[in-house]
Amino acid sequence: MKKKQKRFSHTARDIEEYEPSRGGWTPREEPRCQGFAERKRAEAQLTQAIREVHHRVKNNLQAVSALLEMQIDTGQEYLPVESVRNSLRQIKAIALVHDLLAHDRPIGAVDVAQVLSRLAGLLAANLRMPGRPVALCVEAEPTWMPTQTATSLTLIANELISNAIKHSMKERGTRGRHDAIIIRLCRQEGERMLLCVEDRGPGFPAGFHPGMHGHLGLELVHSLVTIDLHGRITFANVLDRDGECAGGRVQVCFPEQPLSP
Amino acid sequence: MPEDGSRSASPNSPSPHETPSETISLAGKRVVICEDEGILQMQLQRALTRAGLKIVGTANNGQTGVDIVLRERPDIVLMDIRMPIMDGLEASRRIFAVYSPCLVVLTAYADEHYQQQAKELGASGYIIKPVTTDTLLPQLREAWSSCRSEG
Repeated sequence: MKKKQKRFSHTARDIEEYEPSRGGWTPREEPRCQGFAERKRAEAQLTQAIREVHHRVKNNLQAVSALLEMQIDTGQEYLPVESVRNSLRQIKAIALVHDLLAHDRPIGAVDVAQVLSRLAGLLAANLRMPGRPVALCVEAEPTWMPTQTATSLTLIANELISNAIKHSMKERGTRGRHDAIIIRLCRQEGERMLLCVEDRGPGFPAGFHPGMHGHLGLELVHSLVTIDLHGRITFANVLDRDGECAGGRVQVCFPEQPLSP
Repeated sequence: MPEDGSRSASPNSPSPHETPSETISLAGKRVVICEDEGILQMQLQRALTRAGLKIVGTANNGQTGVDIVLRERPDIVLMDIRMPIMDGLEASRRIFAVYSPCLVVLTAYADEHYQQQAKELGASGYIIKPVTTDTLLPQLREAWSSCRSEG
């Protein structure tokens, strides 16, 4: 039995096979042609995916650059260390999405529940004060989102959780699970998502708006919610049984983004 | 004496190394920003407002961008390419079909064919991300100068 000759060149004969018993070069059987077409299609998809990744990386570098510049442009001659730490937390939050993106499936999507869980741990460790433990409770089912949506949501969560921790510790100190900061992500009717961050701090003054106090972080949150997520944000106070303010609650409601096929 | 010598220079006395566009003031110019990334849109708004420009509209997709630009008729349009609903090149095409503002493309795409397309459409400038205020404003002045000399 004669063996087929090996081919070493990639020429127009790519879809042909040398078969001496059939008189030389003959067209490949149909399944082989399909295999070739599929390989070409897969290569094209890979090229497109790499292009997408490069675009994403470049946009994230632009985001990091913009975040740093806005921090610098606050008009202060020297930046307080806390501002630099704040920028570092934002960069780490973006890196967290990429970390999970590298390990998770499907390609181009991230499980935001995992991101929130890791982010909460990171912030609790980063912002805790001696003798004041921080309790954070993340309630989220696995929720896959496109990278860009996940990155925006992670930056939003980073600001809201950081604020919740700072206010909770400054005003009362956390006293255990009853005073835990709650981070909740859930689906709502009409293919909408809800991110809720609830703390036991002093709450919000009447008529509060994120832009009213020149708070860069909340201004950033407002931009990300309205421009990137096409959503809306609400600030409210949590009331106790006596109708007294027992903390603050921020809710971000936005349409669920479809994953790429 | 300040560490940065350039800060001590008076805005009314340009150094001999400055090009003509560096002396142009963009203060008061009306701008529309078409950009779908919240962080960048916020950075651009802050930087341009600080430089004295007036932001008369923002859009996070090409279609809304066309609507706002044609309604507001700004002096300058900053246009991203990759946006949902309608990309920035198509949006630019529709704007130029009606009137010719100083349109500057602001994108992460460095590819030559995008730059060529933008130029053929009539864009006065092409800025590649990432961008900082230090580089944005001189490039905008240059685009404005080029637009004015052509127009």
